[in-house]
Amino acid sequence: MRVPDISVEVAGLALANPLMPAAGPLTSSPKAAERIAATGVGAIVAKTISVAAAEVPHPNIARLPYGLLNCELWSEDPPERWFSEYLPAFKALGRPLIVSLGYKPDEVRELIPKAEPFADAFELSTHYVGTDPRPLYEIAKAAKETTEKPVFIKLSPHVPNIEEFARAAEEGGADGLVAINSLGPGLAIDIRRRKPLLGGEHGYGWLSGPAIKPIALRAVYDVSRTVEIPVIGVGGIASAEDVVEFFMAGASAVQILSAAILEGVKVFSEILKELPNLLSELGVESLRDLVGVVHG
Amino acid sequence: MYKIVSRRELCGGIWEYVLRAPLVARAAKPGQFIIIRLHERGERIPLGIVDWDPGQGAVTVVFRERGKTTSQLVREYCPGDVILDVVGPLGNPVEIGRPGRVMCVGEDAWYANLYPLARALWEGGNEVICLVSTPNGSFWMDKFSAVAEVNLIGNPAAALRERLERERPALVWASGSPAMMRACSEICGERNIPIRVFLHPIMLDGTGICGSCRVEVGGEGKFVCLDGPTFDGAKVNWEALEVRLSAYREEERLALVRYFGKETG
Ligand SMILES: Cc1cc2nc3c(=O)[nH]c(=O)nc-3n(C[C@H](O)[C@H](O)[C@H](O)COP(=O)(O)O)c2cc1C
Ligand code: FES
Repeated sequence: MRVPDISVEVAGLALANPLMPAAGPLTSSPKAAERIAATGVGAIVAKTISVAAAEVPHPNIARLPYGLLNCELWSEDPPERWFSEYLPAFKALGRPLIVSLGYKPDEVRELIPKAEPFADAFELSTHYVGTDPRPLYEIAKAAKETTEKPVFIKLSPHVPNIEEFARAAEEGGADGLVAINSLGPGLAIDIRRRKPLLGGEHGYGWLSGPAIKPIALRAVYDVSRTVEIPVIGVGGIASAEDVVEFFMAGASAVQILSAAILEGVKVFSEILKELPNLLSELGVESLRDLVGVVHG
Repeated sequence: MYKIVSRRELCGGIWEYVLRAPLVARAAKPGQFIIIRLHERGERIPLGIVDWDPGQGAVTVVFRERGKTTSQLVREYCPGDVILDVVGPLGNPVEIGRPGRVMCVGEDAWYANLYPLARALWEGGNEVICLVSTPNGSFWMDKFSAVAEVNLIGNPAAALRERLERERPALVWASGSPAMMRACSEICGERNIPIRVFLHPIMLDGTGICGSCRVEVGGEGKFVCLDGPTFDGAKVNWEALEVRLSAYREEERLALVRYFGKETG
């Protein structure tokens, strides 16, 4: 058998391989992104940019036995710096670049044109929506009216009806979905200090890493059966096996964050090395053949 | 008199203070430290210079609220207040060079010491991997990730051992409790990987006079304030250091009791 093909295509983006860093601290500055690009990832997703720099509480990331708890919000750098300095440097890394933006339709309309020269696609965070799917329709629509480039909507897992959210995004014109964002809010307490581990008003944080993998897989499975547009899987991925699982559940590409913080950015290069071997072992010629095979 | 520019609790009991000390800020280099004294009757404590801004004349220190002086600092000294003495920069700057791949392992507030080092290593074209841990949360992940790959780990020695199975650095740096740095030194020793450590014994004058910071390295007596504060971890006599650090434990406990008017912790 030939070496299995791990290149993928999502919403018109041709990627040499399915791995990308998820929006977060791995790509919060050009220097950080450079290290990720060097691991061989198929695309880069930048840290979420919003209309103003975030005032992030401290501490904002804690390691738990089963993952990470974070309250990082969006980028702490002002949008002007992203447009004048960071995004040009990200683009110079020579990988397909997905620019993550938040959070409201008007804000997205304002931000997209400024990021347009650098972006190959956009990912819109909907982390702070409630349980009504309507805003997803609106944000997708606003984005598609502003750009011709692919627009992905990133889903958060706290909603009881994630399929409706997926459908709303698709109806709004989204070209793809990203599932899932971190899960929460949650809480962890420092018993010696009688205070929450994380800073911020209540010390709330969002859970990521191995703990949320089954939930992310289920979300990918559910939404990929509901909509026609492709789904990028994210949540707890740490190995080539995990990547295959997400593809089988319906993902067309994957993102990783926590594993790279917990175990090192080597996780990307190690998966890239291991994935073709695993596909050979499974008798699979192309990763693309696995998308949604468990849908039946 | 040195003004406190700002302060914040970075994570459970770990504080960052920015002090106005223009001369220190202008001269500081990675690996160096200051000795501060809060007031006339205050004890002197060494704190690593973990960031500095010559333009603003500001130096940053990070510490865990632990003994009497750090408790008093946190409880009584706010932005705008002044502290009596800031002496420094003391100690020898780290020679950065071009080692290649460097792994920095840090624990608790001590991991802040790795930041200026990681930054200088990165600026010198080296690959830097930082493994950091605290019992509660994390801090400066953003600052670290701008200059290094940063991993939030559990037990530092276990994480170092695991990482060394997968990749071999040219050099390891450790900054943490003596027990942690000792364990890391042993792990590196087994693999013939050089390791440097940040020592932080009791200090008084910081000028090699009082002898309180004496440690044994490679069979010789050294003063951390003059010869350090960084040393070859493989050569440090860790047992002697532990004994020395515990020498004043009773006095330190009494000082805390006196300060709080009751038994704590
Ligand atoms: C520290 C941290 C910061 C994050 N910041 C963002 C962000 O700015 N925008 C976003 O869409 N998702 C953000 N996320 C969510 C991740 O992109 C990802 O969806 C989630 O962590 C699940 O993947 P993982 O288990 O591989 O980490 C963040 C997650 C963490 C842990
Ligand atoms: S502190 Fe006194 S000799 Fe070093």
